[in-house]
Amino acid sequence: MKYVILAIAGIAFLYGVSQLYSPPHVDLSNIWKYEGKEIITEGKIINKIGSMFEIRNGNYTCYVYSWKKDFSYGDFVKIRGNVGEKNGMLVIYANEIKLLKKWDGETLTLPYLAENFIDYIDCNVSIVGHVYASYTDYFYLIDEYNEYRIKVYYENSSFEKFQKVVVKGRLRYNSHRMEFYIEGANVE
Amino acid sequence: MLNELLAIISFSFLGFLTGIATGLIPGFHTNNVAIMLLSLPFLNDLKGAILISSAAITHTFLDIIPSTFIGAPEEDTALVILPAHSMLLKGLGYEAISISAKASMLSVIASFMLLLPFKFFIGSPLNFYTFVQKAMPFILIAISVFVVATSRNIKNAFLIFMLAGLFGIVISRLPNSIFPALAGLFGASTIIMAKKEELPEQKIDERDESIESLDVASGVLAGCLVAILPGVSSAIATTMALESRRKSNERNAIAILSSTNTATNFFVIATLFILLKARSGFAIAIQHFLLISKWNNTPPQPLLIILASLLLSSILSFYATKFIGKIIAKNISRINYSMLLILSLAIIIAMVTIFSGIIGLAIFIVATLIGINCLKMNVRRSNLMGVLLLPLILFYIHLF
Repeated sequence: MKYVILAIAGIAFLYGVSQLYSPPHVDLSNIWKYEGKEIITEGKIINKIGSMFEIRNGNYTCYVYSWKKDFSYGDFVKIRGNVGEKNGMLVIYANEIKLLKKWDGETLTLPYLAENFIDYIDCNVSIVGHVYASYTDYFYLIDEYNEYRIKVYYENSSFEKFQKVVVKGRLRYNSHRMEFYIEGANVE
Repeated sequence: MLNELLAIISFSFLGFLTGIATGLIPGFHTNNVAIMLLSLPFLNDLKGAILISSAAITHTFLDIIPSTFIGAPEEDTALVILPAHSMLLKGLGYEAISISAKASMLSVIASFMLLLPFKFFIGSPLNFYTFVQKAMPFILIAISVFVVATSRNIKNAFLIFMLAGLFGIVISRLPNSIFPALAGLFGASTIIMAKKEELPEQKIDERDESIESLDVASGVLAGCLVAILPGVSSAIATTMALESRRKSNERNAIAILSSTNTATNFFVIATLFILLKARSGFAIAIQHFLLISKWNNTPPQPLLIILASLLLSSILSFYATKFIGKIIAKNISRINYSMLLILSLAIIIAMVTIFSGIIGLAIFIVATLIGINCLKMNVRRSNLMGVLLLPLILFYIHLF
């Protein structure tokens, strides 16, 4: 009985130690090395489907299973979870998700967005610009030099020309028309 | 052509020598070596793959030696310690080594024979891999229930299984936890509880030991199963094989465990080319060395070359295991048994500290306490495999 109690005490001690221990911080490009193990990784949310969302960091993406749904497209999150396999794909079963940067934490300019669209495609963005032409359910947003332009879908587009606005919405790409646009916008 | 052949033979031999080192040093695994080899610039193609594959197979032959003579287990040999050490105490340590070497060699031959059926089963056209993956939690639960329910004292067996399982769940979050856990559960506890008696002179008998074909077959089949599944190690395979045969004879146990161990590594390599999945650290290293092309209709040439090197290494390993085992067996009885036990414990503690650090040492101590509990309660050692089974069951349930 003495050894049983000592063993249980030992397990409790190791549990305490394990709470202090942090699993390895891994890039998405290397998670395949950690199948079956717990890791920490980071990425931007680019897709959400039910209890699953997809994150991207650089050129690599990964699916994450989590019951937490209070994250938006474009949020940069830190995930602690176990790497597993589902339907032939590597996925992360998240034990813990921490928001590192909210998507609307920074407001971008159109030139910056144009140069770095890869990082923001399918994500929520916050862009500052000027209204160029306004129509029933969309308007064009331009930069201050009228060198860049993007379509913003927004109902009740009754803005004055060159009015400065901040647009918050999801950056998408229409492959048929070969054009970028903002959908689900909120304009301030 | 001749240059290529010489290169293949040379790197197979180099792998064989590497495998001897990793097999004889407790806690030092081919997976550790694989990581080191990745950093060498001249090993960036098939040669690296040949080296690491040969080392992995050789390791499975040689690791019986520290398990038998020192009682230092690895994940693959945790369950073999008791029967092997028991034979050592009867003066039959060399026989244990011989049986293990022969079983591993037969396992390689059987694995070659089963390679095509294995390919058809898990790859095209049958594609049973997904079915096996989905069935795995149920298989693991069935093994766990079987291990506990067939014990003499079910209550004590359940307690030990759950204690080991809880321990396994807790330490799964900690780095490098497997070796200290198994060293404590199976190695140190055996040494501490060992009766202090004189080690008899070891009989060096070169007669041909007979091995039951069913022992090898069960080991190879268990090895096939676990080689395709993520997170399932050869330790689980050995539990499955041992429980399926239900043999109490030490010779049978050693034969089953050795053949399982070797077959697992063989089929891990095959799985790499059939499913394009790496199921072990050394397989991940092979992926880095080589662009793996899937085995569809005909086996890819790199696979054929690696298989040839495996056969060469296996033959060399068979004789090396017997040779090294003989040398140690001839000299070990000169050492006072109590001194040998102390030395063994010291080696294990040193290895745990070197490979796993202070946290590893803490894991080792707790594991030893659980192992001692198991022995004091007279519960079968297989119940200690809860340390791997329970976390794995939870992992697979989480997947589905």
